[in-house]
Amino acid sequence: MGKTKKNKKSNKNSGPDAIAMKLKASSKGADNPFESIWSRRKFDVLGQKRKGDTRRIGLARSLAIEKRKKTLLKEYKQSTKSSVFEDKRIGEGDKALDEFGKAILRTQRERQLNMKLSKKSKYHLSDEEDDFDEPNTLGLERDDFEDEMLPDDDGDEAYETKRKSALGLHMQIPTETSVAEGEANKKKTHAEVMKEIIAKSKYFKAEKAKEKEEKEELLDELDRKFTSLSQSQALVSLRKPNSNSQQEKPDEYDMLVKQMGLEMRARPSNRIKTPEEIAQEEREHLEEMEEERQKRMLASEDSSDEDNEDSEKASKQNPRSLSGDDLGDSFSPNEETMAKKGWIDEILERKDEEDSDSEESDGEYSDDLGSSEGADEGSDEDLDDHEKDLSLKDWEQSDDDNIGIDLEDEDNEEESKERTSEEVDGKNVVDMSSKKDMKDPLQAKKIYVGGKPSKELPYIIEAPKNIEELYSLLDNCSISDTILVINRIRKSNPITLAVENRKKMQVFYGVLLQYFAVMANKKPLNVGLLNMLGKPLIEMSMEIPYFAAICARRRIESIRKQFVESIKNPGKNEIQLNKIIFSITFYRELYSCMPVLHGLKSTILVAESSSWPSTKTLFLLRLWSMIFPCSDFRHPVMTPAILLMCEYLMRCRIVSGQDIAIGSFLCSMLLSVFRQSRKFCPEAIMFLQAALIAAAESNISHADSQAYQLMELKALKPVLCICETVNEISPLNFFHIMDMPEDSSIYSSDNFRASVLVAVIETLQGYVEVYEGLSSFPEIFLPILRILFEISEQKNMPNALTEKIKDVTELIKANIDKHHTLRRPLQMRKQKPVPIKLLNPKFEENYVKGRDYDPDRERAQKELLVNCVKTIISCLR
Amino acid sequence: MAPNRTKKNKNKKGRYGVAEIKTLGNDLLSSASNINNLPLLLNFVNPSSPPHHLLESLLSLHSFFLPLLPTLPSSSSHAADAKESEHQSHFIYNAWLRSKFDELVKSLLEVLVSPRQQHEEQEAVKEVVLDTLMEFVKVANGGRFHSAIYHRFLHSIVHSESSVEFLVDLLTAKYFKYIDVRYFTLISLKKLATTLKGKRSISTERVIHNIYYTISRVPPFENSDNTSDLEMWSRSENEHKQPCGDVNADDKQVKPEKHNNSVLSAAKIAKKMKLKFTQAWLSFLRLPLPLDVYKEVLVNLHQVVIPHLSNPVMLCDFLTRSYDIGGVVSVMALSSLFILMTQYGLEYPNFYEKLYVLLVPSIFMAKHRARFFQLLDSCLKSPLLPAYLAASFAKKMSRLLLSIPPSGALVITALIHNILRRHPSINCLVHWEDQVDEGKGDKATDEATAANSDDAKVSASQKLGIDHFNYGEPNPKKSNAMRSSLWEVDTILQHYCPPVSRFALSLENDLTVRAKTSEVNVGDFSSGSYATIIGAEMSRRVKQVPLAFYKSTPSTLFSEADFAGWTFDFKDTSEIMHGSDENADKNSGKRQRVV
Repeated sequence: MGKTKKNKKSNKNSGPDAIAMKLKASSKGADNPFESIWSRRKFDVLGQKRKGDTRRIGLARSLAIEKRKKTLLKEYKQSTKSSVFEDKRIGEGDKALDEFGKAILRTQRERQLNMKLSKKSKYHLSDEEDDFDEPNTLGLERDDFEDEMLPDDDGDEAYETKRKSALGLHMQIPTETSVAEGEANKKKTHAEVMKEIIAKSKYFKAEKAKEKEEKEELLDELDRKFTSLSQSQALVSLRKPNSNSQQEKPDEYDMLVKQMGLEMRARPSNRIKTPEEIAQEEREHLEEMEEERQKRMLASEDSSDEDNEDSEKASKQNPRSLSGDDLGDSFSPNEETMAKKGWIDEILERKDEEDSDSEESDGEYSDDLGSSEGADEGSDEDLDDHEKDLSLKDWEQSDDDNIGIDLEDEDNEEESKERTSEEVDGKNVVDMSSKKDMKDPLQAKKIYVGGKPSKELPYIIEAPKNIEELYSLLDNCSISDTILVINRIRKSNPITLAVENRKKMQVFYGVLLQYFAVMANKKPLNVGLLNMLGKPLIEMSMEIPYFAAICARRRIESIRKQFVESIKNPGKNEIQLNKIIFSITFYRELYSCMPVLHGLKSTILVAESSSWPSTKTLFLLRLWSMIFPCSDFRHPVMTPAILLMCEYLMRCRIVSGQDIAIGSFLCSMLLSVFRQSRKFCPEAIMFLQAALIAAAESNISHADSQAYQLMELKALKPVLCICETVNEISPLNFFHIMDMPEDSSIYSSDNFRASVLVAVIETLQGYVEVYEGLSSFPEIFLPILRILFEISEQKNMPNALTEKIKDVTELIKANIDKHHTLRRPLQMRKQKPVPIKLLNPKFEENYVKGRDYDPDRERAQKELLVNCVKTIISCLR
Repeated sequence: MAPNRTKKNKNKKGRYGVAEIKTLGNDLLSSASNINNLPLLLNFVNPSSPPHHLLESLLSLHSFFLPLLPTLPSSSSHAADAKESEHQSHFIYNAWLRSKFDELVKSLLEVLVSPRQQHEEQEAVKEVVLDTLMEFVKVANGGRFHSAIYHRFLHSIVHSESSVEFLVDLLTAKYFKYIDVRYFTLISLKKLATTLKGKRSISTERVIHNIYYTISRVPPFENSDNTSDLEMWSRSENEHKQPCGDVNADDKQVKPEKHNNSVLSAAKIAKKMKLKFTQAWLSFLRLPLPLDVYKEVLVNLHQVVIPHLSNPVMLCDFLTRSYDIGGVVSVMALSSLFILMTQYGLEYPNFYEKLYVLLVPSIFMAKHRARFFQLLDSCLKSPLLPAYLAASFAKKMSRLLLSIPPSGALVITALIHNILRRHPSINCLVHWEDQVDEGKGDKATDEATAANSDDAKVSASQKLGIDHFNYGEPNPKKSNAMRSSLWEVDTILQHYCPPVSRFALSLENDLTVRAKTSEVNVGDFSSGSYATIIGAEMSRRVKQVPLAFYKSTPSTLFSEADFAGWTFDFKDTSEIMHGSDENADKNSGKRQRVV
């Protein structure tokens, strides 16, 4: 049916013949009524046009057969004929090409044709391909034209004609060929066509050559004419105005266009380096520098006579003389000769040298620091190992040996661990020595101020595997040098480059953290060093976050254990020590490769006397709160750390002024943690309240307050009560307070009290600001407000302090008022939207007649009862 | 005569060796003629004599006295019996023996109680002495339990200056399994306690300690039906007739009566046991107990004592007194009181008022808080409690949320959860119906009242934010809790401790729908502490570790901006500044890219 329709349509379109055919067909079709289908009409409506009420399938079919006979059959018949039908589509005959290739070729061709056709369109930009195809056309010509138009007006006409002719020619050729081809397709055989084409191409070639000659001639002639003309007076007179007009012509737009033409195309820049490559580069850079250093060291023998000005180099020529500086990293003076020998010889020789080296340096050390022999020996070994490593790396391709050495080192480390854990005394000595070392830099500086430069550090440093190695590395280093050493260690072992580096850096991280902890425990705090250590620690934890978290968690655990011990039996440090040592040995079994434990061991020695956190703990807590995000809902490190801080605040007794200072410092640390997340922390608020109560003159008035009930646990005394007038208040210096011994007289001075109060009130203000959104703000801060009022009315309060208290009270009051007016009773239950009642009829499956299907149960039961009564009554009757 | 000899012996005592003592003992045992060895040997039974001598002499004395004892007249009754006895001399001899025996017992007690340095020997000696003594107790009173000696023994224990723990432990391990020993222990302890009641001296505290130590170790009597498996230390009727056989005929006739009257059979003792137990404890509890004993008693009372008392309600005086003391003591008394109230029908007026007063922050740090919270939960279990009471408890606990550690917050959340679920009428504390709804309800009422209520509403809405709850009010009736709202619960949704805020969220469920909710088991939270919470956090597996982000890593650990009111100056700033390396600079530039 569809077919016939189509046919009809096409027939309609195809003009009178089709109509005639149709007529014919219809006349023919009338003969055979079986070939037509029609639907009968009930009513004839005048003037109504109806479509498709009669359809003639048979007719359509016969028409189609007819058509095929005319076309397909003919083709079929011709197929056996000698003359061949040739498919001239591009690439059809080429078997090498696949279907896709053919398609590409065809589309290319089609595009080219399209291009040619659309060439005249305004916005067409010439493509390179086009230029290549028709070198003779516009592009080239125009260049000439531009060149030549400027100097000469006369040439213009000539050129124009020439151009036209060229264009004409060009345009003609394809048309001619196409016509010829068309004819050839029809009449001539293939061979003939080819001949014709060849002949034509030859003709065109000849034509082209001729044209070229003519052109050259013309050009020559023009040149000649122009030279003669330019020499003549006439042109000179004309030239100036001409040239002026020419010069004025290029306006801004043209300039811009030109510029755009000249502008460089955007090119792909060099690839951005991956982190691995950067790390590699850094390491290579260091290696280079190390090599240079060594070279300079060797060359200095020759050049030493030349310039004494370069004292740095000069100093290296005899490193032996620098006894205090010598870390055993000096390379032997005969190294240049060794370089020429085989590697085995070298290693053998080097061993000898090492022996002599270590002997010598030992001697020197014993002169300098008698007590620190053990540590220094370790350092020598360590650095020698390092040297060996280097040499092996240089001379051997296999890494196996390296690994072997590493393993050995670990074994040694294990041994040393055991040794240290067994002999706490020995450890003590090491600690002492390290303490001495820390004092040494000053002396060392004094020594080397006179003309001698600070020693040069090795550029490539293997990561130390335990704290002793680190100590020996950092012996006598100034702060900046320490940081430099750490940075170099990090760069020498980039994690991104090798798998084993990750492990090395993890070990090093543990060691560094321990070093940090030990430094934070020193009594005169080396704050500068600690500050500088913070940065590499933070950065390293970014590289190994998981390991950093594990370290932190383990440390938190041990800190808490210590804390609980100290709360349970205050003043019993020995037991504490034993227990911790026990726990360490236990831990070591679990994590034998972790150097973290070393930290524990060394930290026990400075056992905390009061249960409040030590400087070390405070520093560590602060470090972690910087490394890890504080605002997370739950964080593997921060959540336990915060809990620990709060536990300190809740469970430690406030006995002295130092306690209250540390506590308020903890509060402000917590504030900085909660500032972003605005989490509610009852412990901190309670502590601040307690501190304020401690500042009040009489405790009795607060007996009923909430905080006081808790504070009875803390045995609170009026530690902060200011007795005499205080003139000036200086802010508390955290480091001074931590350095001070516990029973220092400072804590009972009124100056100290006033400054602690300032800190407390400042912190309180911070909390007020942070918690202003909490819905029970009034309940939290009202008791504090009362205490604040009382304190501010005390007679000895300094003015600055009362001002501050006033500010805070104002702030609290304003917030409380706001809450009282804006707060609404809770509406915690989430109410689900009540669904619209459905009024669909409800169908019961298995409906039983007589049963009550009332959805309202009460009504149903009532009905049931009524029915029962009815039946009973009826029965009775 | 004898005193002279003893004096001599005392002088010579140092010269006696162990072997000589042995021969002395053998002589004594072999014939009655060597009876004069008896005082000699007695001298060695002395706390200051060397243990070997002591032991040796004790052995002989023991075997000497043991067969004689049943025949000896009791020291008090000898005057009456004297005339009836056939031979005057025999009687005198017996009386003398009796006095010697009393002497021996006395010195034995001295040895037992004496403080001594050498521990191991001392303990061995004490054990032997105790055994001997108990043998005497068994036999001395004509085969019946010699309660007088036993009482003296206990008296010396209780009034001992030195530590008696070893002795009591020994007694517990060896003899408290015998029901009559227990029985007489209780009786004498009761006597001791009652005699002590009036006195007040420095030593009373120690005595009370000792009494407590002893009485707490007396195992309570299990009420088993089978009395035959009750072991007696002193022999029962049938058995001890035989040793009595060789005594005079008159005695024989008297004895059955005596048995019926005074000698106790196991069954009889078992009957009376409970009574004695009760009496002993009650008289003990009437003593002015020192605080540590007091606490310990309170902790153990409900498990160890109450089930075995004949009438536990008799404890109510003691318990109410302790409950009224307040603070930790009343928290501890609560558990026993609770048992009395629930199981024994004790009525306690103002119980809830007192319970309400107990809710203070410090109990969240107290040692025995776990039990208290569980009891608190079960005390509030009844849905029949008035709404004002439930509301007051809920509100007071929620107020406590603002000042207690996270472990306590968890418990409180659980408690509030349960209260809200049990009392749908106080759900206005957490969900306040909108005014719009009320307005709809008001439509039904006439306009005049509607206008009035509107006025009321306006005035109310101005004060909506004010908490009408009176925290300091001890009476839950007047606390105004019903007019308040649990804003504190909303506050701890922001709590820093993840479990707390997570758990507080559960209060958002509609607890009035009882079918869909279930009660929280307070026991799961009641024993929480910082340790448990940190432990739980630590035991979580570390899956991923987010890090803080810095555009440039901060160079100082402490900055004054973060710590208001503090400075972080340090003197040696110059050290860091000088000598910054070209390398370091370069690195810092590069590192930013890495980060």
